[in-house]
Amino acid sequence: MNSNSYSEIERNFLKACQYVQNNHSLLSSNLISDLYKFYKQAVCGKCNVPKPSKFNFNAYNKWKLWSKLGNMSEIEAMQNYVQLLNNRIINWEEDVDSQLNNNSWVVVSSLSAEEDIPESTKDIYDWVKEGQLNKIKSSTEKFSVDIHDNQGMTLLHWAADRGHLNVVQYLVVDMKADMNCCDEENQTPLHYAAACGHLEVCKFLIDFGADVNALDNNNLSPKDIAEDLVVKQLLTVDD
Amino acid sequence: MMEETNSKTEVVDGVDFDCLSVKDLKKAMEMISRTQRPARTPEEALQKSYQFWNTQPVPKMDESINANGPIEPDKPIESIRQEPYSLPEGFNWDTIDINDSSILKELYTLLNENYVEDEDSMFRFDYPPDFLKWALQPPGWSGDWHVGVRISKSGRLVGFISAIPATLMIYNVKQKVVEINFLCVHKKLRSKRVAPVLIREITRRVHKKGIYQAVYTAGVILPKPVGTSRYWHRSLNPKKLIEVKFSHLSRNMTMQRTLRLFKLPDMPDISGFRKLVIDDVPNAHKLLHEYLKKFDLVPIFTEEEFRHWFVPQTGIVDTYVVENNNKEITDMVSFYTLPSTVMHHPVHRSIKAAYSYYNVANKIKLVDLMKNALIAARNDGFDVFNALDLMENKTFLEELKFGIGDGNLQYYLYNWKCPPIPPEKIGLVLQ
Ligand SMILES: CC(C)(COP(=O)(O)OP(=O)(O)OC[C@H]1O[C@@H](n2cnc3c(N)ncnc32)[C@H](O)[C@@H]1OP(=O)(O)O)[C@@H](O)C(=O)NCCC(=O)NCCS
Repeated sequence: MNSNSYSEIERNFLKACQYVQNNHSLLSSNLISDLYKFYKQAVCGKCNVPKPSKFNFNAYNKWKLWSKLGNMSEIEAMQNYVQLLNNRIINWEEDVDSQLNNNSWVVVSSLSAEEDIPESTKDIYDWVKEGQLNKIKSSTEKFSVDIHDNQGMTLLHWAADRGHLNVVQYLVVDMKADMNCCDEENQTPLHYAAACGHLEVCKFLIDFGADVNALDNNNLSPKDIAEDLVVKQLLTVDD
Repeated sequence: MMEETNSKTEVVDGVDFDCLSVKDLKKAMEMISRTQRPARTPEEALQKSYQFWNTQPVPKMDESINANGPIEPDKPIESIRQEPYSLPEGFNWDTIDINDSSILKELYTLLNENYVEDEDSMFRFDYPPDFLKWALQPPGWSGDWHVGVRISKSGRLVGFISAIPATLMIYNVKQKVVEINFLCVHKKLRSKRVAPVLIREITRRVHKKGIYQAVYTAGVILPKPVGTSRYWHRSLNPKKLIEVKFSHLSRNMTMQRTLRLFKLPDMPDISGFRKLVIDDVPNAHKLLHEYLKKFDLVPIFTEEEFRHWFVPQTGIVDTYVVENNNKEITDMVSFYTLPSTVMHHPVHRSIKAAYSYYNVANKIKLVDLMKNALIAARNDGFDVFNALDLMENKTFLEELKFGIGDGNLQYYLYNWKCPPIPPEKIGLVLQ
């Protein structure tokens, strides 16, 4: 279940959703409704809600488009969603990257926006925190993967904390990052992923040999600090 | 089921932007909306002429006020205009019967697709139909005050405004008023002066029943706020809020530390803390009534109204009380539920928000009472707890790790003049 094509498709889909979420006021209504049906199919599966009244024009039309997809698989729907966006919008992926940080809850009120870091001052640590794999890969900055920052954390700690599976995979597989490196509290990346409930990241780290029994300065293992029951269970299998 | 109407399909009908650079467009759209939007700060407001509001019995923007009373005297009922105000050609009035579930669904759809200000919002309010019934049908409600505008040809609902009866205490004056809410004009019909017609028409219908004052709240600045308050937000499910970008992790903050920061105990820890039941109504009603005397702008609920607004209803309103060993109700805390749809997120469909309503801390410290409310809300699956900085709320917001929001809520009185009321003295929460 780790780095096969399934999760690659999901990641692209997620990113495409991100783009549409950020920009949907700029997209044509035709495109939005085409995307919508694939979105519903990908997220909810086969259309299973009752047919809305024909007078509820919008709902009816959307329902019609969705139900036409019949038994299309979720994966296929995700691929179609991404493909459609690829065909209609050039460079949408780059826009997702640059827009990642400037959104807020505009309906009524959201938590006031925090610091806005200029793109030009961002470094490899920022790209890792933001999950921008492309920027990391194309970074000209020379970096050595296991350096600890001023908080005592490595890139892998940050990627595990934020739950960016693709970045974790890249750091471990391509960059040979140390899976069991410790921060100042002796916590490993797996401690971070476990505490934050990032199930897929935990799975990946375990598959690649992270130490499930590593203890931090408080003598706690990743399992001890996990809150999420599924994650706890995952970390229990070896006992 | 509700998601079936969540996609925004109409705003950009007929305009195909696909071939243009998204960045340039976004910039252009922002500029346009900045010049056309209503005032959000007092400085902006002073620049505006208020073509409509200048004709209404409301204080002028720059007026200073010492009195406390009506601006215009009550009108004799016979002198009230008999026929409805005229709508633009092609539209007609319709009284919206929300007891008819298909009509209620139409109202729900209008609000959910249009009750937002910002075009590129990622979240939109999702007032569930039952919530609308709760908000629009308190004791004494009048069907005549659920005013809709339809397109004559298609019958489509494109505008709405509502009034419900209430009694306020404004400083030391008890006043029968209506609360105006859910003013909404379809996006395609904006800036065509439909809102003023809706406001005039609801005013006429309210006058016909012998009521001449109103209270309402808005995010925008109009002549002239009686008070201003600010929303604060407390994360209950920080991971999800970060994932849907309701909140953000700052550069040097780890998610692990954030989760720890917002962690709450497993169970409420005040002894005798429990949900309000019908039998508590008389005592809890008295408790709230006494408590609200502290403030300068408050509702006076009858017992029947209290029952309507506070008896818990799943997905609408929750009230908890503290009962002591002598079976007396000593404290209460309440919040209403308002979900928002999350647009285009592959995992999360909606955010469940609790809005702090009325709280009375007598025997328990307010901060402890609110902490228990947060725990109860978290255990009921709420993602965020919102509160205005009014009443005594400022005493717990920071300590309980609420973060300040980015929008103000302005309070208004119609046909009433009184000195401004600071948030600590406002004791009124509308839905
Ligand atoms: C609020 C809304 C009905 C206004 O409609 P509109 O088409 O933008 O405005 P119109 O051209 O019809 O009318 C403009 C007049 O209404 C006033 N107005 C705008 N928003 C208002 C509000 N929330 N309450 C009262 N009056 C308002 C304007 O100040 C203006 O009057 P002025 O010339 O004296 O300044 C519409 O924008 C809407 O449905 N918004 C989404 C829902 C919403 O925000 N409702 C209000 C919740 S409090």
